[in-house]
Amino acid sequence: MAGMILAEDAVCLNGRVLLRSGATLTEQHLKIFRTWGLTEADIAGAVGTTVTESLPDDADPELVERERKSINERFRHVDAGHGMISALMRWALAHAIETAKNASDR
Amino acid sequence: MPATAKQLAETIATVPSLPAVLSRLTNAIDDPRSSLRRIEAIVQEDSALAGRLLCLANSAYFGYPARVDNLSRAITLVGWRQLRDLTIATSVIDTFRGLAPSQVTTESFWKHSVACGLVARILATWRRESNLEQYFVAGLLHDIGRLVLYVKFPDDMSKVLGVARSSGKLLYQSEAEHLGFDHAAVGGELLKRWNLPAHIHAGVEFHHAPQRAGAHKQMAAAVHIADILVNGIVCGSSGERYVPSLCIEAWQSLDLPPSIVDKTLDLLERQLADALSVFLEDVG
Repeated sequence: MAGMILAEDAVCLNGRVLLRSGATLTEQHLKIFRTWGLTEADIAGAVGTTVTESLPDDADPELVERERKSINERFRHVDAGHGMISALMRWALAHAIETAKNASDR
Repeated sequence: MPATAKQLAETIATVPSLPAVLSRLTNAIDDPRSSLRRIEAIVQEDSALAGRLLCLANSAYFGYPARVDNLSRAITLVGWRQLRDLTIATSVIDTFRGLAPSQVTTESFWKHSVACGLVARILATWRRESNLEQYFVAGLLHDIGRLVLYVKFPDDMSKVLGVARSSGKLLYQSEAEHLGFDHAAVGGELLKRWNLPAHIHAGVEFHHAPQRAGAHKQMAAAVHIADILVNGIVCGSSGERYVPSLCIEAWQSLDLPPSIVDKTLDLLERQLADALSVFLEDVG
């Protein structure tokens, strides 16, 4: 978010430094980051803070609960505490809710 | 019931071989005296392959900024070795597309396969690997052994599916318990028989045990993680209901942050429709 301070240089995938550490982020910086495919940066006082958020807040709680349950069942053979797995579960949940929402809108 | 490795080998021996264009192309690519014109002539002979290659060069899969309207330009852009790998992909799909197992729909099976290929390729992109199409092919073919099992041993596989469902076990573990081997072993054997590059058949054979893949660990790890991601979001299915267990060592060996999951799946969404139509629909 704008106003945060970069703890490390913001480097995009091809190795180019977009912004040096110590800089205060502005909306314009964030826009440039997204353009260059950079979706996260190290922020002073936080570790691996995600710049872009994806989870919808206005979802039907019953639907969220149902999807969460089915996802938990599907992931029964893996450790939900693992960083990669929890990221995957979050994406699967957000995606399932979006799909259900699109289907009901139609 | 096919309980031994020998019977497994016999089963595989009855699977058709790949089209001749693939071996002609491989020979031409491995021959240092080959010219672009010679490669183009071989691709041209197979109009379906030529059509697919052009479609692919113009799709989000490669994402080239300008329109690619002729074959020699497409071949130059894609590169010879990558062309060979893509020809492997289309050859296997064409050879197997007619198979219609009763346990899963063909559509669902190939969607899972193509998605897994794309994700393995995207993971390789993040790692800046150079042989991207090999990652695609290994991901695409990782469950080909299961398709063979469905078709050659429909009754056994229905039983295995039933057991996996009622016991809540992973399908590949049930296969191993009931058949004595799993689909990864079948796929690996089949790809070896076809003389596909070692990188590819090892990626398939060890996608549930990437720590055993030796020199091909990175490839097996990429396919292993791709399979987990694609099962996690239920993008098609080869019959497995659960997310396969994670080999933590494999994830660590890729040396990618967990945040790569979002980026990878977003990219998959963008590439999937194009890739499905290029690889699975008839092109004239």
